[in-house]
Amino acid sequence: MLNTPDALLTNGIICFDTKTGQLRKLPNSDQFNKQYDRMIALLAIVTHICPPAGIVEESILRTIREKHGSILSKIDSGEDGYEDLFLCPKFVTASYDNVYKVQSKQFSHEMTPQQSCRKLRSYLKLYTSIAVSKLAKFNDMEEDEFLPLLVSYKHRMLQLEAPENQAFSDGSLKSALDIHYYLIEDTVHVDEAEKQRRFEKYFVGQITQNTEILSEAVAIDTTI
Amino acid sequence: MSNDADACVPKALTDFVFDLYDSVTLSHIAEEQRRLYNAEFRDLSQKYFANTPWPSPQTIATECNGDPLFLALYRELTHRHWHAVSRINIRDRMEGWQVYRELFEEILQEEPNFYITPEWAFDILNEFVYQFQGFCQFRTALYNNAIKHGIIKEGESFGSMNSSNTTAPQNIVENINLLSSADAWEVEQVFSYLHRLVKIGTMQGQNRPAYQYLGLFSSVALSRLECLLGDYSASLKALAPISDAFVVKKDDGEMTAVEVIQSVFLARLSLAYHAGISFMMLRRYKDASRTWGGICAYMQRGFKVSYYFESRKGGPVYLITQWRPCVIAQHP
Repeated sequence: MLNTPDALLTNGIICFDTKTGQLRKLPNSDQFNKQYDRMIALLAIVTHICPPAGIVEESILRTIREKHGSILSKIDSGEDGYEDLFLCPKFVTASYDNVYKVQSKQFSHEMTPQQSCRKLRSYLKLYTSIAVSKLAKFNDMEEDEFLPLLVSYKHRMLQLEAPENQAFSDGSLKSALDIHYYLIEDTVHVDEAEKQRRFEKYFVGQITQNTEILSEAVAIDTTI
Repeated sequence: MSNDADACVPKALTDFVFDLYDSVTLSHIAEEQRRLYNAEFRDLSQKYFANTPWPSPQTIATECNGDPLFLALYRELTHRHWHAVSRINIRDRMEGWQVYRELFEEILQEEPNFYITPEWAFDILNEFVYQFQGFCQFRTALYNNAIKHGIIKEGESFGSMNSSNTTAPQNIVENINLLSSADAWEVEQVFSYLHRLVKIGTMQGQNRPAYQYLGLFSSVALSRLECLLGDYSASLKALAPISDAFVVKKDDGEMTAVEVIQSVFLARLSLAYHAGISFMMLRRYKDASRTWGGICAYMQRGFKVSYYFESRKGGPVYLITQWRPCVIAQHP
């Protein structure tokens, strides 16, 4: 182990210099933790409004639940909005205005309907077909108020998706929903997208976790 | 900001400048330059300039034959240090613009024997956008202050300042006068330098690594700048040069553009963070999840591996948390 440069995580990352035998702080490494925490908070938002299965690793989803689970459940119950998790950069402009507020407001505006959409999704997942009037009642809405929500959810989740090897290109329009639904007269029909069962990932994740716990347990000094 | 009074420059310093100059213009050995740029510069800064500026470029000009490109590089490096250790004022901010303008004008003349490491190239461009951002925030704060004190009416520009208002705080009036006197950090100019660096660094037939590095990291900086200004599609478009198709030739083999970015962890972090924001604001939640999820998983694996380690001299026992990804990034 001593042959490889090693690092110590404290306030930043300290690197073991194999040439001089000194421990050195990596330049700017204090920023790593800060950026990591910001991205976890932002991930909490996007994984909450868009099903993350198969995109984000289980260990990251666990971290999100541990760190932000309580605020996410408050969002679900309508007590709170997504704003506290929106750790965005300090937006600027070439004029004198304060655009930071403009961008944050725009974000809040975009997120508000997402809260009702999530509720709608949780009901849709329970049925294969259901009368529009009944579904509207579940969502505490009048039927003519509810229909636009039903349609807009589909529209909202239709988004550009980059192809695999070109991470930042426009790609093509795809639905980010894991359920598919359509209307025939007054009834909503729901096909749940084929469940992609990922046993292998789950098992590998559990095995890794188990190994970690084991190695921690072995390291505990049990001599009295 | 420079202290010329200190005419007697320590030998360690002149040696450092001489060696750095050699690595930039002649020897082009990445490992050696990395040592000078990271460890040596930091040690000297700590020892002699913990809270004072480095000597001015003129003071050390004899160590580098007065080479204008190297002097501009030296000026940027020491200005960046000063920016980090001091409470900077408006003059420092405006000098920052001069520093970058001088450096980019020199670089854009295409000096054939010029070499800097990927980290160094990234640090320059990252700081450039950072200082632009700081300048904009400063200007907005100054504007709001001026409105509060009745020097300017809401919706008017600095030019329409009411200078007859004698009760206004003098420092605000002075700062506005200073800002109006020079065209520092104009957004068109900031864009122009980044675009020109991208163009020159990624054009067909470009075979000097330093220019290729500067071009690629300019794309990252441009993407961040567009994101900060709220043009999210442009932010993603700016990343087009970063593909596997783009190759940098080095003495010891080749690197794709993606690998160049990955070799500087802060660049990778900045890219992922800002591209993720752009995806999210464009309502592309899946791509945002993929971008952030990937790098967070990578970092999380780095956080976890921990073990005990005893120093070679039999000293204290440290708990080491290994940060593999970054270590690899520092020792490619």
